[in-house]
Amino acid sequence: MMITLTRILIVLVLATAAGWIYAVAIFRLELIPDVAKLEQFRKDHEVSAEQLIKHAERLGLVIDARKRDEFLKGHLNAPMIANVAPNEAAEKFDLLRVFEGQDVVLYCTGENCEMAEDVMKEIEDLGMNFASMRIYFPGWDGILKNNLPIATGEAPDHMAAMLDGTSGDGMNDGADDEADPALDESGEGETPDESGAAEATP
Amino acid sequence: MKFLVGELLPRLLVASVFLIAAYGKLRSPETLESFVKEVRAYGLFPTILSNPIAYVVPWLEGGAAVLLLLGVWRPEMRLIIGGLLVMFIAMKSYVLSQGITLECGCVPKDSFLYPLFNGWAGVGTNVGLIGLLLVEGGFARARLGAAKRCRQPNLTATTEEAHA
Repeated sequence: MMITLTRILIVLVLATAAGWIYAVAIFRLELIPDVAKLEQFRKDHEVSAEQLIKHAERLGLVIDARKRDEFLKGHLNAPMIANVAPNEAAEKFDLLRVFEGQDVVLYCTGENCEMAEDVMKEIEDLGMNFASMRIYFPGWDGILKNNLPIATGEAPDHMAAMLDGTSGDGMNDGADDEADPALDESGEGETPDESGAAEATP
Repeated sequence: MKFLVGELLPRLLVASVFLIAAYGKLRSPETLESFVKEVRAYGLFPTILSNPIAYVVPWLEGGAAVLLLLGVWRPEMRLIIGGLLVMFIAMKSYVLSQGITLECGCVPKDSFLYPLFNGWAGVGTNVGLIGLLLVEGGFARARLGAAKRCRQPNLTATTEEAHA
């Protein structure tokens, strides 16, 4: 029994040492994540449920960063919604260039999902120039909990057609080219209750 | 034949899966970072612990798989791999039962094994791997028991010869 425990402990200690050395010394990754930085990122990019709905109603682009099968099962009912998951072909991202200069809101499965952040990073890496990119952190779970309008199946025909590359015409009809007031950081168009709603959403 | 089917094959299968899983996470800084995010996405550990935990898991998987394959400290490696599998099953079941679909971070997305670990199939696969470990352990124990029984009369005979 003692021998068994000792051997297990040896393997655990060696794996820990190897793992930490490999990540920190070779890959130059952080051993302890900068929680303050992560929280600041969240603070800078979060939108409330009300802001998300207002943005969608103003025909702003909403990106569902979940996997396609989940998107088909259900997604936010927004006129300008696209399903773009991380690591998708660059061509699919390129099709979103029609929306450059506008605000974008992304969401994925829930509070802990980081796919929306990954998509945001890919968009930045591709040099796409959106006015702002924000995330609805409660994601699909929050959409269901807050009883936001949902739809199933493919994105609306015009969006599906655009993302299939068959048509891009008329995509911006009615959409503002300026920053979306619903996402205005000054809080215009947002009541204190609205910002509280997002915080209260688990 | 019994050794081949009962011990070597299950050991090979389990160790290969674990080696593929470990390699998938350790092959580049991006894959390791992505695994960190996947660990964080489960939301079961404090954020501050997500990196240290995620850095150790692939090495534990890889190290235990290599030692199991080589037959070094086999019962202990069975315990480590079994423990990891039980932990993966618990985490995955909990998250899936909440209706959350996550990238489990088990094997690389481009791996042929990926469909086996996607969603509830992953729980089934992990249960299957535990089954293989039990089979391997059972056959090993039976073989060792038989070997012991074979050795004992010889030992008695040798002692008797010595006395004579």
